[in-house]
Amino acid sequence: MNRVFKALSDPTRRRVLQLLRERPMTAGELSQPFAVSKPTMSAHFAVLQEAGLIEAEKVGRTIVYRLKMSVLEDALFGFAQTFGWEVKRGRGSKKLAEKELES
Amino acid sequence: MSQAMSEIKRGLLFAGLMLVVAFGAKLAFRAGLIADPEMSRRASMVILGAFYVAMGNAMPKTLVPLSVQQCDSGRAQAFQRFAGWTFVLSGLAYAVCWLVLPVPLAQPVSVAFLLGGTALVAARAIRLKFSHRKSV
Repeated sequence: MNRVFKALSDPTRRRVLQLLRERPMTAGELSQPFAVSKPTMSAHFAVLQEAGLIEAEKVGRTIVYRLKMSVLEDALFGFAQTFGWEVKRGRGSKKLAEKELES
Repeated sequence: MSQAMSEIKRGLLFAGLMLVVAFGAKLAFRAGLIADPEMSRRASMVILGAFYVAMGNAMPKTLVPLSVQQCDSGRAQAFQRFAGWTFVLSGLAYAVCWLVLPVPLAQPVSVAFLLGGTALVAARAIRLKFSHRKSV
């Protein structure tokens, strides 16, 4: 459950989940709305996969991501969206977040 | 295979729990620990509601490979989420009915919630199937 909370605490990851609510999407489609590098995006996908919130499936030569959230996780996600859950960070928060993604 | 096994285990666990709780409540009533003679029945029904909740909760996590899906993956996903939420809410309503309502009222109202939820999911499944046929 800790992994789920960690995954839901980041606004980029929540936006990814929001996009996947519409339909399964490829990594390229999901990365388009974000102004972040590919490795950062891949790290976000990895965190979501580790938490069991999304699943990757290879279709031909592309990887398609889709939602794998239970109703409880879906409710937690809705709660996080509504109340804007975020990990409180002080100075250098961006660097800290990047380090977290790298590890 | 492991998915089927975990489903069987979950079913057996809930069935066992229902029997144990019902038997325990019956014994407790005979021993004079519980005043309500219907407690055994109520407890069984609450567990049954919890089973529906657990089943609905896990429903959107059960994914069929995209290569074998017979309809639009977005629609299939929306249907799974709808079914999961419906089962969870109707299971909760079922359990709450048996917790708070008098038994003669709890029976029809709880069944109405369960049947209503199942009918909604069935209607949506039929619509999904029908719209797929039209789009082919």
